Amino acid sequence: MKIHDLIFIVLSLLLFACEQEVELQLKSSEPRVFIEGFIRTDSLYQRISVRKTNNFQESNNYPGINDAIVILSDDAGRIDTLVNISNGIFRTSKVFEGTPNRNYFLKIFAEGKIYQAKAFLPEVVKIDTIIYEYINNTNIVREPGYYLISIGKEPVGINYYRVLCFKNDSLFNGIGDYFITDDILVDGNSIFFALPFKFDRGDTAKLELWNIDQPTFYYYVSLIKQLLGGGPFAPPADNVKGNISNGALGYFGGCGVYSYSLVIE
Amino acid sequence: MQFLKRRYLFLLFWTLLGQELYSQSKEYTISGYVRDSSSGESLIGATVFIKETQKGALTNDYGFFSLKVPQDKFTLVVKYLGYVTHEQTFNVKENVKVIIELQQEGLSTEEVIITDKRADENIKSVEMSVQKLDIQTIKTMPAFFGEVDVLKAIQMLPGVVFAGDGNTGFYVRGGGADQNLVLLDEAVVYNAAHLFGFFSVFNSDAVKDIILYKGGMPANYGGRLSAVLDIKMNEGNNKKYVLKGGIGTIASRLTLEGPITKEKGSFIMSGRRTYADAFLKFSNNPKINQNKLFFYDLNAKANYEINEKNRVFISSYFGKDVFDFGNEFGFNWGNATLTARWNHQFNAKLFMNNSFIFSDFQYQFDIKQSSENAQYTSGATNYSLKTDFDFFWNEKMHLKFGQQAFYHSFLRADLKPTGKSNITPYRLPIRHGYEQALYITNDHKIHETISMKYGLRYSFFADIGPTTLYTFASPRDNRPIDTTSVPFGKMLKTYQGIEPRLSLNYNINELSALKGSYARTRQYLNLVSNAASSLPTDIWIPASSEVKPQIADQIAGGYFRNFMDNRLETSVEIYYKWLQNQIEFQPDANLFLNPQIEKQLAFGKGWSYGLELFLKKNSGKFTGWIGYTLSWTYRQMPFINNNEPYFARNDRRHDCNIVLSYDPHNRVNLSVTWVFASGNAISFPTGKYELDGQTILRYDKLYNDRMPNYHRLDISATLKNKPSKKLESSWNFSIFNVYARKNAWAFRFENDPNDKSKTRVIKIYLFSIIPSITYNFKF
Repeated sequence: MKIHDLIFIVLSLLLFACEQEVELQLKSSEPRVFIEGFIRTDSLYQRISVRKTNNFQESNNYPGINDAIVILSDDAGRIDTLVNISNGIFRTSKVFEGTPNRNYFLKIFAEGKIYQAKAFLPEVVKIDTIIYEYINNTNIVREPGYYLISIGKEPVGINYYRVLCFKNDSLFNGIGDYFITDDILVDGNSIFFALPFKFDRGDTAKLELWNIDQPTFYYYVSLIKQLLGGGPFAPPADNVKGNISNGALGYFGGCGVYSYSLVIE
Repeated sequence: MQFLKRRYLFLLFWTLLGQELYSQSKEYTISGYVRDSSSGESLIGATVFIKETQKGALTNDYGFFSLKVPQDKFTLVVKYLGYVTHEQTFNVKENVKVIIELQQEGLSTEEVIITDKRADENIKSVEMSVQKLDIQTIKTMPAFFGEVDVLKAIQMLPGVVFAGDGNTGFYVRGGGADQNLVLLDEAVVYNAAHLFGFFSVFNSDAVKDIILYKGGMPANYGGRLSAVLDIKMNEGNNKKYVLKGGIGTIASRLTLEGPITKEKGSFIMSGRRTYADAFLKFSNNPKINQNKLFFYDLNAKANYEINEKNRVFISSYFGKDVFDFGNEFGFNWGNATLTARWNHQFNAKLFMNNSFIFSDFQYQFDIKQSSENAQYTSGATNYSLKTDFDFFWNEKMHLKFGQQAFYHSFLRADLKPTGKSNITPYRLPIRHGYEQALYITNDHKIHETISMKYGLRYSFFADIGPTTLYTFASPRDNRPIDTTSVPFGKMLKTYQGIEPRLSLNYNINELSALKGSYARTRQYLNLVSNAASSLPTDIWIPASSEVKPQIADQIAGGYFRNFMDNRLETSVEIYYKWLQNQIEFQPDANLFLNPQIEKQLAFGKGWSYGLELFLKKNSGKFTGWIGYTLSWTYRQMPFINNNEPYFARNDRRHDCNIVLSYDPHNRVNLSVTWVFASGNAISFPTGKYELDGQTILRYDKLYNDRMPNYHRLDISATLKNKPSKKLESSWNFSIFNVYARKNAWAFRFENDPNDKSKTRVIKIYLFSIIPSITYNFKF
């Protein structure tokens, strides 16, 4: 993914690519329901959002469907009807912690339609070591600063991961900040991440290692493709893959979360 | 009755044999070579004809021709574009061999009438949908950054759609960029682009002849569906040493050529290097000035005439692009080709060429980070052996037949740790393919007004060992559960098919002709791209049990009419093309180190139809052409728009090119080109939503919209200095995009950084006005 970025940067430098904000007459569409939720092992309450799409010219505030009925259950027989807590956001009415190796089921009644989805929650995979090092060389890829490296023993079998990085509790959430991988190169051995996020002395760094299942991995593949896509050197534009039934957009997944923080000194 | 039958048979036999006997007793053959008088270069496609009968032939790829002469005394006329016409009277008593040397028109001191290639060739020739471009014409056209580019000139022709601003990629009649067979001295060039497509790999100083077939490909070409771009390298001057070159805005060229043994053999060496990164050095920002970015290429060719009947050639190309980002990341790629040929002339009528060809493309990433040092390599290689025969049967028939055998290998991914590294080595098995083709084609003048070119090509492909086959539990689990070793030569899957080719010409009169053609083509190697434009990292996927070969059928018809004593050529062509087994990646395909990449492909079909208008003026002070294309191109794929037909990303309704050249003085040339293209089909969002805190675009249909129209005017002036005995030199001034139109290259849809509650559209455009200057010299 980064390669396209680099190509683009170089071409911009070399060939004086210019940018200009323009008005583009885009076609509009009927609003559709979109649903998002991730069952997490580190959260006692689970959240689901049920909202509707906007046209491109409209604002980024999406209308929530606050009167939806949102029901979450798992294959151990737990069930809960979620409560609406803010615009389109629903939270479990009681403690509903994510338990690894279980399937979760989502059923939503909204505007006369039923939407369903299923998610699997993988186990938590721990990171043994996190270190940071100061990198001084200056180049296009990195600025001088402190960078995190994590090393952890990885279980045998096919696993997929997403790594999230926080600096002083704020997530690196730019469109180029996604970090996902499978374990094909390291299966059963230690897995190693050199994270391209810059820290300064005194910062608190936090890492979250999400163990995700295969459909969730490919959901992120398609999401990253869209975020970085569009130009001639990027994959052609396409929709992000979803897993909600009955024509709703969005994704319902699960993640085994291990988090670790440290202070850069 | 019995008697009659027998007599009839006898008569038939007598007619056939008698004709042969008759011709042997009364007719002779004149054969030989047509060459340039100053350099000794073979001239390909020169017209050779007998003045008295107006019957003739074209020289083949080696400048060879053979003609029957009907009487003892006749006049032979030889014509070639840009050369003074040669006329010679012969009085023959036996078969004769000649070497005709033509003089370039500019070199002539006397006032002579300058003629082009046989002026009515487009009426008389059986071929349609063929474009020949003269390298001299290309050199006077305005050039992007002053770099004369063969592929950019090709894009100015009707029926050819350019891939994007500054891009050398091209699409022919609705075909994909990987469906063009690009040949350099018979060797397949896998990736014809430098610098991600902004320049092509063909150094104009080393190029001699360019032919583009958009349809009705002769049966001696195969392996790609949509077009053939056949580029031949200069052979080198066999009379004297010449040093020539050019110093340009971003690149310089140097060529040395000369005789090995005078008039017996010659060589040429040509090199080019860009210094695009020289500009980066001016930056104060260490992030920028530490990077490397350049490309170079080398062409070399030598030929030697062993004796009258045997001649050998060896030619080679090597080119590379080098990118280095600081000390952390390197990226380089390049092509290498080698062609060794042996021409043998059996007799006045039968000519043979044998070629051994090697072609290779590789790209490499170097990752140099503290504890992640690794090198990633991927590429394709092929070795091939070709045998081609030219049989000049009689004045009505010219047969070509032969065979081509290829051995392909594809290294999809090889990741190696280098130095201190936490990376485990990983290599996907190398895949091999064996491709065999046999062909026969006949150029047949059936009647004074009707000529035909008909041929058959048989092609065979085998997915062949040695390799390792993996078995997987599911298409998305990339861990093999079982491996099988396949020994050398074992065929895993084979495909074969017949490819008929046919072209017809009906000469209505001296000035107009109706033509038609049909061609079936099969393609066993697919270049699958995950990007809208072609990148070096695109993946070659050969036919296998999971991937069927691509097949195309094209019919075309045309009306050709010349005006003003053949000085003005016009043509109208229409075509319809059907494409089978077209390939796209599934939307969420993961390309990197994926051993099951075939499982993430989608297969569908395509079709395209269109109309091409062409008006060309060949001689006089004003020359040039206007081309217009109206076309429609569709694809139909599962996974895309619910399997409904959609406009392909190279679908473009209108395309218009104007190329004008004016010589006010014999040392001054002024050229203008203007391009207009209506927008390509593209996917624009029809809505948005939010996932993971990001604004996500919603596409109800892909390829639902159009890019804005593209147009651009370029101008150039070439001024030749007064030639001295030793030095010829010229200056070329080009201005690209004279009226500085900001043609959209891409659009980005993003959150407004100033107001997170809004989104905005950003247009990216590459080039505003770019002036450039090149100095060319020749000693």
